[in-house]
Amino acid sequence: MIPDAAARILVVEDSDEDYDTTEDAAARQQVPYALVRVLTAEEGRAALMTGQRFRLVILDNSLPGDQGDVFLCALRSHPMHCRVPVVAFTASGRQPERDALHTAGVNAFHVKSVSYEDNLWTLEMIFTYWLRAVAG
Amino acid sequence: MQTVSNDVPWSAAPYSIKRHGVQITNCDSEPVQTPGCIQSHGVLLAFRLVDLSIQQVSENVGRLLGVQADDLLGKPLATLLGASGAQRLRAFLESEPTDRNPMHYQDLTLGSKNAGFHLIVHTNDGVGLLELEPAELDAAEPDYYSLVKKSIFRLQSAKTVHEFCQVTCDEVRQLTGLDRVMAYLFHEDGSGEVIAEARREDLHSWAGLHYPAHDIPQPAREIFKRIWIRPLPDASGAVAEMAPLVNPDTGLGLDMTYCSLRGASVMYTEYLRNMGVGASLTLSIRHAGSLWGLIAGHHLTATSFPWQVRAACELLAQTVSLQLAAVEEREHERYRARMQAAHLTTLARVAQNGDLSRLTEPSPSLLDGIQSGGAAVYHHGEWFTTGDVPGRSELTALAEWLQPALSSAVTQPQRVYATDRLSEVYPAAAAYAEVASGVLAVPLSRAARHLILWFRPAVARTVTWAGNPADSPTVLGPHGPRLTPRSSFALWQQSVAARSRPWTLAEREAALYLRTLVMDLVVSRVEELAALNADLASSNEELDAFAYVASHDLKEPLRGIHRHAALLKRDIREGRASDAQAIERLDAVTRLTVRMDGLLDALLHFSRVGRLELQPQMEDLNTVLAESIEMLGTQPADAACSIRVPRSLPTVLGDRVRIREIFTNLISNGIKYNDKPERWVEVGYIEPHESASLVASDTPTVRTQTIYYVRDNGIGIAVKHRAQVFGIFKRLHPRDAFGGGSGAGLTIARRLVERHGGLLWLTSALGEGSTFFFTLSATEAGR
Repeated sequence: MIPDAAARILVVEDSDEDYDTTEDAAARQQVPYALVRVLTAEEGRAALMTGQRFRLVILDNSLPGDQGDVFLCALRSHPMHCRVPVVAFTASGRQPERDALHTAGVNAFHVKSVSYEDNLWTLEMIFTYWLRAVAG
Repeated sequence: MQTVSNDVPWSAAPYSIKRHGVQITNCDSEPVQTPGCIQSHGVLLAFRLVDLSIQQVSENVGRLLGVQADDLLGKPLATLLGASGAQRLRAFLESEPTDRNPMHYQDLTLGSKNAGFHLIVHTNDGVGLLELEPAELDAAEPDYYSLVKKSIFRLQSAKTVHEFCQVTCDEVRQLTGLDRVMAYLFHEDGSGEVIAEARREDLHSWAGLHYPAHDIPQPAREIFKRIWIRPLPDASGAVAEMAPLVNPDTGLGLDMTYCSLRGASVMYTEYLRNMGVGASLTLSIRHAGSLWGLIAGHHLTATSFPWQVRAACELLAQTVSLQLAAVEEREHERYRARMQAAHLTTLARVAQNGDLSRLTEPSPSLLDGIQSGGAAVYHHGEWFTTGDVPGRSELTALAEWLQPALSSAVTQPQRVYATDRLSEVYPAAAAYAEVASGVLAVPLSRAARHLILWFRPAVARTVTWAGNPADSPTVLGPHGPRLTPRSSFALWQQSVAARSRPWTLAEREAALYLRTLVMDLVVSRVEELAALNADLASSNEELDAFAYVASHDLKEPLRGIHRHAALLKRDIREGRASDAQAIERLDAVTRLTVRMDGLLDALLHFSRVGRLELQPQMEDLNTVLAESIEMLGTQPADAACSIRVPRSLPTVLGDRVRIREIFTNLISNGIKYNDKPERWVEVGYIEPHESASLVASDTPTVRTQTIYYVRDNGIGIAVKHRAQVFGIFKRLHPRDAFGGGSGAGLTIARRLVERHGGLLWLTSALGEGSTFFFTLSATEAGR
């Protein structure tokens, strides 16, 4: 892994506790990228326009206002961000939502658990896989 | 008859009963109107109308009057009647309607024997016919007028056709003194049935006797459409031929249709003699131009039917004919009503649970409607029966066979399948002809997998031939036993061996009507069930989506709690948890449980709103709104906000508590999602007749209702989010923005409106404000 010091990990997550868990996982895996948090799809779109590069996006689908797939569409049609891996980490595993995300071009889909340890483990696996195993 | 074919003996020469034999095989073409002969107890003269000259005279004139025919032919009638007699006749012909209408006009003592005669005259096709009937001129006559008057009165009180015919028989027997008088009804197939009878007590009853159609040959039926009465006072009496046989003026045999003296067919007299009958009197009963039946009177010995008796009977026959239609219609009406009542009662039972099998339950069952021996209903692959019906497998085979006919009956809704002779078209039915010679069938579904069948037994009944000697001839005529009631009945039985009483139009109509009712019932139940299913399916889907969404929203604080608990545990285990940190975690847990509690409360409230019965009353919306504002006033968030009410609100029928909640939810939203320095919320209404730019063209309701609205100058809602705002726990902004909240307010408000039968919708301009509209259509209906 050759870290791009300027790159960030974008976390689209409205729940404070869930975001904290993401931070916990990143810390435990010593992820060499800073996390950027947005609470809504709207804010996420704004983040795409800042010129900031992202190495990975963790996306919650159940958001206030627009759902995660709306943000994903915007990301995939953005020339600078269209190839960034986007991993959905969301509460609802319902088929319509999975389909919407896959259509919009999500790279992986994970369902949140109630268990903190499980969520931590899932997020660590996500970081390990997408930041280490997969060539950036 | 006029249609004389070449292979009958009388095709070459003018017909005369005396000269030409009639056989059973050719009696259907016997020229009964021009028999050439008369009954020899009277004398018939045919005369020329212009000069009253005698053209024809019956050959018995010598025997009865002592005057020779040759002395009369060509002579004026005055020769016989005297100058004054002829004068009187001429005057009568000129003044009275005698054409085809025999009228008694004078009694005279005539001829060399000075015998008394009734003189009866009529004209037919320009020929005068004078009938002389021997009479005891001094004999006292009964008061026929009073007798007939009494008879007619009794007829009027008869309620059924059967009763009517019984009264007729009784009265005719009273008037005539005949030994037996029968009412004889013609069925559709031309066969006859004795439906009523009055008889001398010692005679055996013939009621219920049937005759095949050819027992009354077509020519006789035709004549009975024209005359009311046919007397034959001496069935064994000789006939007297007309001299000459052909009328010199017309060149034809004399038309005796209207003569009471007309000679009878030998077939008929032989039949009567075979029955041991000495005299007969027949009256016709006509109905709408056709022959409905006959009143047949028999006397064991020869008798006489003086013109007074005949006139009285004729009047009675005419009255009977006139009244019969009304009696029959009344009876049909009663029958129709009875069928209808039975069908409706039966159907009401079915309607309770849509189970067609209940059609066959007593009582009333299907058998109390259309007269039948049995009925069967095929429903969901099973037979349900009542009364006498074929076996299950026979029913199934019959239903299979009926399928094509019934399918076409479905496409032609006016059709039912009806037959009174099933085994003729469906030979397998011969096996159960006893119970099901007649079938009436209506399909109840397109595929005819559901149907109703009515069955009628074979009609042939047994007539007990008692050993009354008067009934059986001692000597049979030349045609043998064929011309007897016994063989007639046997022949009829043979012809109807596997036939039922036919299904009448009224019965077919009743079956059709029942079918319509059942199909309506079935269809409405199917629609009901389909709608219910659709409702259930959609509410299941809704519930599914709802539960999913709700549970995941509920899990969010749970994840937080789990996280804090897990971290606290780890810190403690690793011995690096400070008290302050621990308390911080526990505070977070407490906060999250409060949030979760809020979500659960909202969820419970929402579900209760769906279940609770409304308590609608007339409510002044101004009061309801004031209460609502008062409740909001306790909340700190709405400090700098004005609530405008442009005009006083109406009074509506609705649930006060629920409407208050609608207002509270909508108004609090208007206040909360507002970033203007001067926040306002407006509450108003638009009446149906008012045009309002406020109401967008995409208003989801017909403008027949008052629309209430709550309008604000808040942040507005983007078009793409307008549907989402009503989703449970769906928020458009992060949790802590705009004062927070569970995200259930609009979901609950919409459900409250829907409980009132109304709709809730919105228009909005982003950054400028939103307007929420709702109707309370239950209140409209209540007005």
